[in-house]
Amino acid sequence: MAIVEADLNYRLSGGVPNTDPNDSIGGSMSTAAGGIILTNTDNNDMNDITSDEAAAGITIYHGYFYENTNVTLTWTTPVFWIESQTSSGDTTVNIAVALEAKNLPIELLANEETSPAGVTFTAPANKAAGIAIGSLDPTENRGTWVEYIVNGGAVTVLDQYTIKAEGDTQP
Amino acid sequence: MTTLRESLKKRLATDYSKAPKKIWNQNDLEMIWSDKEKIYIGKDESGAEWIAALQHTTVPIFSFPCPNLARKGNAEVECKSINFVPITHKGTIKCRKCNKLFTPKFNIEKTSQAYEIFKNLEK
Repeated sequence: MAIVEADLNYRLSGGVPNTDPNDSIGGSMSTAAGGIILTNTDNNDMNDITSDEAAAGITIYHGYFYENTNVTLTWTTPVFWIESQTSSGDTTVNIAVALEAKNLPIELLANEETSPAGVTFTAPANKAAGIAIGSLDPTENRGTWVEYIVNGGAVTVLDQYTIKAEGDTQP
Repeated sequence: MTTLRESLKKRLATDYSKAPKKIWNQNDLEMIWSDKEKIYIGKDESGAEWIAALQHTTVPIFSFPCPNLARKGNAEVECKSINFVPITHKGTIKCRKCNKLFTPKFNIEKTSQAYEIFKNLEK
């Protein structure tokens, strides 16, 4: 049976037991039940930006993993991209694939305001511009990064963005 | 002879002409295709504007924040409005919000399938 969406997880980093998106600053993939990012859930990627942070501006880096939980099929040539940019006019999101090979922990950042070394962030806006994750064999994973930029003087809004991944599968 | 850039531009023009007039985002928010801007735009109940590039095309499109200074409230700050730019573009574009010109500089991840296209366009 082909790979279906339920076979694919988008998981936090920050260590095996991590369930806090704010601690998703690299290291090992979380394998905790609560370490999966659920679509369309508030604060699934980070805590609220404080008024001081919004006034001064802040750039936050978080690491996440794509995981293929299918035990027999490979998720073939997947790519990921920013399907919808941030809904706030005062923020931007960029993405990158981690430099580390699949199934390895990614760089552990000192804090969420430290950028991962040597990583180039871009903003692909459709699948054709998407960044290759690399084929994931059964139960494999690969790290990625998200850069969330809040401009100084940002006004308070419920800000959202959509990152989408798509690949092929055997039937 | 048709160049790669011309060929991609033609393909994108065809894809724009066939763009679905409406799409729905993850929040089930209706986003309407703007023929003028060549993007999808939707406003949610809080008034926030969602934008998306054409998804139904094989021509890579990237987003660029506008670097020009613009007035915001009582301060002049970088505009940073998002503009979608196809890989075929060369030269300046006019920001969709502040209307000032800027030159997007493509910096494409080497693992992106768009990288080869970009390299060939630069030749």
